[in-house]
Amino acid sequence: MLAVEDLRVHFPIQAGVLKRTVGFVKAVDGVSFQLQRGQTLGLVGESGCGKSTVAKALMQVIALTSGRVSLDGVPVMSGDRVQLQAYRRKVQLVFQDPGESLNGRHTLGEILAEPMEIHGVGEATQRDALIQQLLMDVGLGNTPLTRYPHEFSGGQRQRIGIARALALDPEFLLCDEPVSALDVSVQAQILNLLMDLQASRGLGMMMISHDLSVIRHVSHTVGVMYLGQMMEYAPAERLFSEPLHPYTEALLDAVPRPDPRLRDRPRRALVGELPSASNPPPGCPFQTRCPRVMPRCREHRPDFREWAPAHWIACHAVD
Amino acid sequence: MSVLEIEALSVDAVDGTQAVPLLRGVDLTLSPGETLGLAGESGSGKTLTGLAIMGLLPQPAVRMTQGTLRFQGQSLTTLSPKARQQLRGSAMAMIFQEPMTALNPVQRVGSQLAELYQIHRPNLSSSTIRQELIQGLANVGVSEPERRLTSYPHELSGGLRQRMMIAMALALKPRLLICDEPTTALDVTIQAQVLDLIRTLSREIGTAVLFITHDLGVLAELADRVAVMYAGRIVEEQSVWDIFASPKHPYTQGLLRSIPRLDQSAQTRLAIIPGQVPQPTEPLSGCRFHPRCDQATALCRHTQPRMIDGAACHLFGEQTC
Repeated sequence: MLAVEDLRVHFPIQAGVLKRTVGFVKAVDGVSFQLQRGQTLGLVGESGCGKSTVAKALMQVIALTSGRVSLDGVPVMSGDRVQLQAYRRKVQLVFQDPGESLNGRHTLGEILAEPMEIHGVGEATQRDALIQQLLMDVGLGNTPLTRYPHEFSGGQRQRIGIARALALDPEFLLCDEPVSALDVSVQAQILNLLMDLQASRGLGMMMISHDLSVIRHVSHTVGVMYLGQMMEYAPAERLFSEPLHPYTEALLDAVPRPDPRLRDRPRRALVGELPSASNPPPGCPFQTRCPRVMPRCREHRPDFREWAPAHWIACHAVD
Repeated sequence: MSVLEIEALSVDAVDGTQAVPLLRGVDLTLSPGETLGLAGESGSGKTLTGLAIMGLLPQPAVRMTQGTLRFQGQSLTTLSPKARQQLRGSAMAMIFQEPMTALNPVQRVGSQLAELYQIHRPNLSSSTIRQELIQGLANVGVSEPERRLTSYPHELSGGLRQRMMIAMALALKPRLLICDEPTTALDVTIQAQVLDLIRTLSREIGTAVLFITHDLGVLAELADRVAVMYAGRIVEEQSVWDIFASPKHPYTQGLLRSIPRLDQSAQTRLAIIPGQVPQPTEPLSGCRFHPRCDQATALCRHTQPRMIDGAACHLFGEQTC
């Protein structure tokens, strides 16, 4: 199990010639969750909510301001290079834009061999067989290894991105908007592939997406983020059938539904824009747009509490 | 009278001596106050259709090779470039996906919006223009419109920028508004606000809207009719009610089945359309969807189906050749 406790990532805002720190962007501000093997955690939220920063912090590619990441109960120390390398073998990332995250000057074979070389997986002679197996697993069997990324379509490139993430046989896969750049018909192929791989390899997955329908489809547990904080966290079935947080309610109502009979459904619409993450409102981050705002919300940040078994929420208005 | 009538529109990309077909035989009509959704995946030709109507094709590399475009009964193809420019911005307007690239970054928003009036309504005084602008921004839900006029585009959020574009597009009450993925770059709560806005304004002003998107959910929310494009052709066109209730073309059926839904049981495999969209350079005989269609017959491989009763498919209607 991959556990995250009270994760904070604050970026300094520097100004003037002396580059003095004048404030912080609290990209992630006190987020906790657990990722189980064989299960998918969906992280959903609008731009700037910190969901991608969570993934980067989990990969230890950006420094944590505070908080704890532990794998099967063992804390991950970012200073310990040997331990970090072992950790990264077990936790891998799939990016949004496979066009940009694959090196255009490397062939397919080189792209897939690179992580194996860095981590010393297999002998050079065995690697070709491993790569062929990987390509079979992602539905690209019998593809010449000498081809370059630009010779593949967007969907095929995302399959290559997934194959690369699987090259080290990881136990956890963090997927950051893996289908957002793809066409609808290709999106379904990639989501199916990820679900198949999870079933066959017992992967623990984190699915980061702004698309609630995608999150709903693949997730067992869902976390809803807003301005760096977790607003609601619950089993997927429960979150979508009985959302508690006013932000979750508004998000669900705003999703366009592919059924014209639903176009006049009652909707809780949000007014106003997202506040800037560098200057979040005091109290609850959602108070500027919340239809159920109370005086208390403007002063005190609500506790993140377990309102019902496994159903966590940060809201003063829910009692 | 229809606002827009397109007949047999074909567009080619010309590369040296080679002509690559991008659009083939596109027919569309739009009535006042009507919203027509144009759906399709990337490369299907939906943006190109919008650009062809506006007269904004990147000529000479991409040009119209066939067809007629009529706007309020008047032929657009025989108009001089100057006359077409007169129409753009006043009688027909277009909103793009990324408002940041459509706005001039070094000019205050107010002066960009005012330019439109200076060009198309040269008789108005600057104080009247200012009044109109403030009213226009208030109409699209921009708070503190006076202050926003002095902002630069980068000072505005994505949602606000898109509202500015909509205010600009609607300023002179166009008869036709072409929206090209106007909400794709926006967050879902902001998208809902912008869709509401387009819906309300088209109802109030009677503007006909051509709404281009890959998102069928968005069309279910606001379109009256939906046309689905695939590889440069319209493969199906029906009322929004019929296309979602009983899609005819296997491609439309596949698209509707492959989208994950909020009200569908999770953790199941999604239906897929195998393969991928063909490149325009790929020579394909017959129906361009046949390599991905599980119901394709010999007829589909050889003969291009005609549009009959809303679907261009050999499985529907009496197809004779």
